[in-house]
Amino acid sequence: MSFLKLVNLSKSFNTDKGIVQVIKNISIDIKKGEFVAIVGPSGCGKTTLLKIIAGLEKPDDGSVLLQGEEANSNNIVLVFQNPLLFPWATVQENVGFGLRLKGIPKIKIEKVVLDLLKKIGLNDFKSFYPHQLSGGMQQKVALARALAVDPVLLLMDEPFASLDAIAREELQEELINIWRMFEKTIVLVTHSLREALLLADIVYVLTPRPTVIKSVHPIEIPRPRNAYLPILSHLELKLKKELAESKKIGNLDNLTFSDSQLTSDKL
Amino acid sequence: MFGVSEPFKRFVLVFLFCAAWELFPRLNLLDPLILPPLSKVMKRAFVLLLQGDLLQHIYQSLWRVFAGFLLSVAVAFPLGIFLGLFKKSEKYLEPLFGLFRPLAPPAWIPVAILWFGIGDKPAIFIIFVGTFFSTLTGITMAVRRLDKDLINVAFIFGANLRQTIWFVVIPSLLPSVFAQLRLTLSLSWMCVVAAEMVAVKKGIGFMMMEARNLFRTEDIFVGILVVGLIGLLMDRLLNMVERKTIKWRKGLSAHEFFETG
Ligand SMILES: Nc1ncnc2c1ncn2[C@@H]1O[C@H](COP(=O)(O)OP(=O)(O)O)[C@@H](O)[C@H]1O
Ligand SMILES: [Mg+2]
Repeated sequence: MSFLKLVNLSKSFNTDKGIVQVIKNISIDIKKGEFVAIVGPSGCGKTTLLKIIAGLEKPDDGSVLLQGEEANSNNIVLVFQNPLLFPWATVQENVGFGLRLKGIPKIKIEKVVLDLLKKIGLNDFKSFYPHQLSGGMQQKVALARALAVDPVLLLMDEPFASLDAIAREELQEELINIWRMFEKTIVLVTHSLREALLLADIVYVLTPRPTVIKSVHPIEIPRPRNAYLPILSHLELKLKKELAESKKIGNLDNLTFSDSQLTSDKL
Repeated sequence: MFGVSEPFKRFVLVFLFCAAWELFPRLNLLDPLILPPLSKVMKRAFVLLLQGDLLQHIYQSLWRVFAGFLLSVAVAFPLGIFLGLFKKSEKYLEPLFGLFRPLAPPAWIPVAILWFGIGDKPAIFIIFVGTFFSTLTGITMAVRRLDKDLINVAFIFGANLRQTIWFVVIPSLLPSVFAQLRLTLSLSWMCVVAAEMVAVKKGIGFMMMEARNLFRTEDIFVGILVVGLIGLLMDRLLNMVERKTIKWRKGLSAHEFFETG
């Protein structure tokens, strides 16, 4: 049974250049506990898609069903591209933010938060302020803040895009550990094919605007994976070609853009 | 430099300035009637403090400043928040404000006297019009600069409106609000002195103007000293409150924080 179901989502924005169709008829089924990656060129509407799932944007058309019901944003948490920590709050206070909103007693929050910080190795930094932490560390705190509310669904919007290579690899590994330890359903959006292939159970490839699903790839490579596995490189190359191809189509004048071409090889 | 400790170094120029103020008139390089030596001004200040009504003047000026300051803040803050939140409102209000903004506070003096006569009211009015637009712009900008994504974070975690305001909006605004309060207060202080030169019968500005009419040069400079010192003191005081409130950026004032992004 599908856990999260995106049905025919479409969204366009009114801009000064007229109406821009961002996503078009996107349908995805996600199983409970699945690690899903969505890859697409920048500007194709990945952030918009996550915002729709999280309830930050309303789709023009289509619906988001969580366990068969219209999703209200409750307990779907989105980790943004930037850590977006509260600069006036310590690590511990930041991580406890969601719980505090729910009116949970302070003592209980402290226990949950400290426990979580210990689990993901942030215990020593609990009284630090965000500006005292590296970018990677800040993103880890943002992740902890999301986990603290025990979300049913964890959405991540290019969470490692602004990190240096070393921090990125570290956090990718950490994310897999977290996914296993907390048994979360994760939807990760990225423009890095490698990241998607390294982490996910299934990869959706999107086209440029108006964005549709170009192809779907279940990745049945056992974990832990590393970037040097020949099969991964092979897959990456294949998808890269596919993306380049879709970009070519996307670059043509919108008028000559035929979406039947693109949807034809959609699963 | 010469092994002098830091705090002393900072005041080298102040010291040199005071020395020059003392020596130039003493050595008759400057006519003491134009600039009396510092020591004489200080002596006169003490005399006025203990025997004259300098304290009365200070008290009058301060109370006007606080009344004008509070009035300005009380009107500009809610309006600024409104303008910040609703971008479209600016389209209609900006042309109107644009008309008033370039009017320097002294330009309002005739109007103030015409409307309010002589006394506290015209002075408070001048402080109000002299600080209102700067405060309004400051608050509008602060609200505009609010990080929408930080508010999105609050939404994601299920914050209601009250929680969003209390836990995210207010702490975000605090640094720029403090910066603006400091600016408004120092502007108020400048305005009051200008206003008192014509529209009142007490206050530092009045004292200085009267001294000029009676050729009491020393009293004029007592006024200058007092205005400067009180302005400095008020700014330091607000700065202290600011540091106590915004602990998360120890050693950086709100102003510096925004400069460094
Ligand atoms: N609120 C908005 N108003 C107008 N256009 C928007 C808005 N949000 C996103 N867009 C446009 O939609 C497109 C997709 O944006 P986004 O979802 O951020 O893409 P991605 O995350 O894949 O880079 C971009 O062209 C962007 O300019
Ligand atoms: Mg994006």
